[in-house]
Amino acid sequence: MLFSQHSKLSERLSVLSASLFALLFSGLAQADYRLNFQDPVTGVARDIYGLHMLIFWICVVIFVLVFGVMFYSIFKHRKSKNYEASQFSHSTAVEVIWTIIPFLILVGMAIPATQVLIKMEDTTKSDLTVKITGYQWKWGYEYMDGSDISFYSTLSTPRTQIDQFNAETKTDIGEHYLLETDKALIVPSGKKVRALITANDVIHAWWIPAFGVKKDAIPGYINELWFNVDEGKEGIYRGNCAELCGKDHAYMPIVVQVVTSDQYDQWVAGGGQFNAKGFASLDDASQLEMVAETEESIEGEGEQPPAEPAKSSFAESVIEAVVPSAEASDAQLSVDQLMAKGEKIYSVQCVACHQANGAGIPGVFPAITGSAIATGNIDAHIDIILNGKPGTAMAAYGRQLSDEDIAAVITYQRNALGNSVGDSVQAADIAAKR
Amino acid sequence: MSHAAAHDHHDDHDHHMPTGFRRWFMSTNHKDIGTLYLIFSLAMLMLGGAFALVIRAELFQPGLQYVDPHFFNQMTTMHALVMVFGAVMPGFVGFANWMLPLMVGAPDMALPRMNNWSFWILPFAFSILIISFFVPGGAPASGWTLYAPLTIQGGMSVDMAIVAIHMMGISSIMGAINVIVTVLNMRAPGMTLMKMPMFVWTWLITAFLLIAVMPVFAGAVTMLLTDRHFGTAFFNPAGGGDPVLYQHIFWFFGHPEVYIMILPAFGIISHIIPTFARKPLFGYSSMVFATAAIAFLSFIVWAHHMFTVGMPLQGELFFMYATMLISVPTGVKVFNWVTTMWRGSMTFETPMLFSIGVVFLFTLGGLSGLMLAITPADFQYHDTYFVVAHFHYVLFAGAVMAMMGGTYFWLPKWTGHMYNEKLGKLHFWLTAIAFNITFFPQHFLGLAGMPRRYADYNPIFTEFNVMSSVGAFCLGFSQLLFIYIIISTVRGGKKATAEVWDNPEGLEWTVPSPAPFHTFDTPPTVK
Repeated sequence: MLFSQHSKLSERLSVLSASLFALLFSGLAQADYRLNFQDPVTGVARDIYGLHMLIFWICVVIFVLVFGVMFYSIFKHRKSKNYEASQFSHSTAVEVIWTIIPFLILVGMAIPATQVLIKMEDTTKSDLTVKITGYQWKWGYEYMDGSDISFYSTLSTPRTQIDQFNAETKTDIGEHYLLETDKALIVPSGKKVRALITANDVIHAWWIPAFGVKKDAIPGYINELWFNVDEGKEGIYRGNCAELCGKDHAYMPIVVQVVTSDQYDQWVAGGGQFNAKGFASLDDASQLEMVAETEESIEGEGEQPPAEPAKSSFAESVIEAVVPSAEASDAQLSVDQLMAKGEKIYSVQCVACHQANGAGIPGVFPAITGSAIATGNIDAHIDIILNGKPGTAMAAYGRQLSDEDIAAVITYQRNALGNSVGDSVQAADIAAKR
Repeated sequence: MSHAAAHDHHDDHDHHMPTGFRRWFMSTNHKDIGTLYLIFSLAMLMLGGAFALVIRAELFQPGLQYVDPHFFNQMTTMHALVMVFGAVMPGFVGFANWMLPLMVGAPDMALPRMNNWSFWILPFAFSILIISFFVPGGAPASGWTLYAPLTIQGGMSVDMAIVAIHMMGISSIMGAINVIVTVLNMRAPGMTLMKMPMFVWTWLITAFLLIAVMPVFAGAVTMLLTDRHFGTAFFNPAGGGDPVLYQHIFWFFGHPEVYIMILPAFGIISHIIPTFARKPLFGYSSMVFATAAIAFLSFIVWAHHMFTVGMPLQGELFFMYATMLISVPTGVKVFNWVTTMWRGSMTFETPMLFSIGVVFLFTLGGLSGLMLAITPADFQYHDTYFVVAHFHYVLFAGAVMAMMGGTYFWLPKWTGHMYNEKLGKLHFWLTAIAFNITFFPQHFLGLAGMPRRYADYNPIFTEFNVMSSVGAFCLGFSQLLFIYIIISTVRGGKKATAEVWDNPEGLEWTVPSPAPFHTFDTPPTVK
């Protein structure tokens, strides 16, 4: 054998590898992990799951047959067993057989696959249409049924959790780390929801595994997808952006809250308000609690989520800061108020590119500190924030933030992050520039 | 040696051999240029592997520990560019340079000076690509596919990558021309097309694929360049351009490209398995037809990489059916290899271990590829770690492990020394086991919903990422053993005979080991 002369080394190696495997698998035994698709909650997702398992088992059977033969041969037909090599080298009959049989298996696979595909692509007769827009790095949602509800959905996991993760803080990161947003897309169960999907800057992809939908969001294109969540499967479903869209590709999750049809109507009638956790704000609070508690965690069979720890207060304060407040437009805020609010908005909207200290990433994202715009003419500053800069990741925030928020973040950028211009703007100034 | 006529009066030309700078920098000798290609490929394998280890270190646990997401994206992009264009493609060109003239009984490649040029472009191309780490904004970070409009946002490194890609493309096309001219014009008398060794056949077909698709890729990146700097709007929707057009052009190149990387690997193991099974390759002509069929089909399946862009139903159905069809000729090849082993008299030297590993693991990757072909399911697999697992099974366990097997198979012919068999086997087992620890768990990650190209992830994915990272480091450091074995074999070792193995087939085994500087000055005759 390989190590016959090095039995000691061999022994040590085997102990090492055994302990390594023990370590790995004991870790697996305790942990929540998942080997297969998330539990499907739509008809299409169930069809896909069935198709996936069908093809998987066909592949397993082929694999076992082919390699059963190969390993039988490897153990039987070896020189060390004095097996005499035969010299046959072709057989047209055999070649024809193993061309035709795989072809027939493929036809057998193609039929159900075609049926599911036709069903998936049929976006007609929908009950509700939502427009989804991908931005670097957030999602925008707009309800197209005349209710006039539209909002943006941003990652709500605090940056500090992401940047300062280590063995000690491990327990502090929530179950939905990187899979939580400040506002969820609210949809009714039992209704065919059609989504029109596009993007504002680069290509993104909107993906909810449990719904069996994934579609690219492409600037200049309007793609379609649909899903119809089973009644009784109301809850929270989470997904991700699935197409590389730049630096924060991993930080633009998708959260969908599925509510009953009645709750949905109630939410729409109430103007589409959100509670502090970013879920639908409904009159009947107990009903909402019920929804939140039956929340489907992505593990499916996993434990119920623990009660939200105090750390979410950060996220709540951020949400408070970001949710446009209608009555504030005409109010004058003090510079301190503007600065405090601006800091919160900066930490959500600007920090991904311009960084927490305002230094940006040289050559990719410009610095705020000492920049010509943030220290120069305030009109240019307001202009770039309202209208963005085409061809770059700088979005037009005029569509995303309220006048007061923009005033606050401009004031903050000019008087913090190493800048000290000394001026400030009010919501009315922003409104005048729109 | 069944169809070979031995020649032993060619070694007296050895005194023409230049030395030092003239030998290695101005070489027109196919063996020296082959060696240069192989060394370059090995160096790039290590560099690309180092990038991969940065990725795996960051993904060892959730959160950001070592790199920021922007640098992470640079790593995934550069890992792929370096591995595809630096390690795998030049590696196979190295094998072609060394082995094609020996296999067809030609004295050299048909166009030796172009051969020199096509190699020497590469170090400059990769210098430009790697220097891009040091320009403002760092290296390209948009994935090796360079999808617009993300690349239109990128910094000047994107322009450097485009220049580098143009240079690599020119190099590949020249290499391909050289292969075609050599194979079609310089075969020994009596070697008809249907008597050519499989490696020659697979490379001939690969060369046609290269000539067909490298210009397409060059066109795509040139349009990108003009979009970035000259105000055109091929792919920029703001000017009426079409981001999906870029993907169609890219994958029209990109899908044949994956066969460019795997067909020569098929060729190599079609030599190794018969040698160690002591039995002729089963179904030679069906192997040739299957290779040609795969090459043809590779041109009509490209859009299966982009089912989610929103194609019409008819388009999705066409590309699904065409993609599924590829598994028929690929299956024929696998069945032929297994049947070649059947009732042979097998021994399991390192090249054979690698070949069995390739057949086994490549087929696993092929079956996950069949799963990916099923369009409705692909919507779920697409852009997840399932895809990452799939293409590493076919590219690492297929292409790279076949090159490793080929290296052990022909190293005695190249150096005149036998490698250390025990270390070779150890290298195989370390590679095969570490490879599976690295990539098998990624199937589960992808199915459970972890997208690819993510610098950070939900803790639910931690366990399999830990396994994958541990495996990746084992896999990476195991390759140092490969380098050690190669260096020690070059330096010395048991003298190899001309035949090296037990009665192998092919003209390359009729020349002494090491193969003299000039071989087949007078062509052998093939019966």
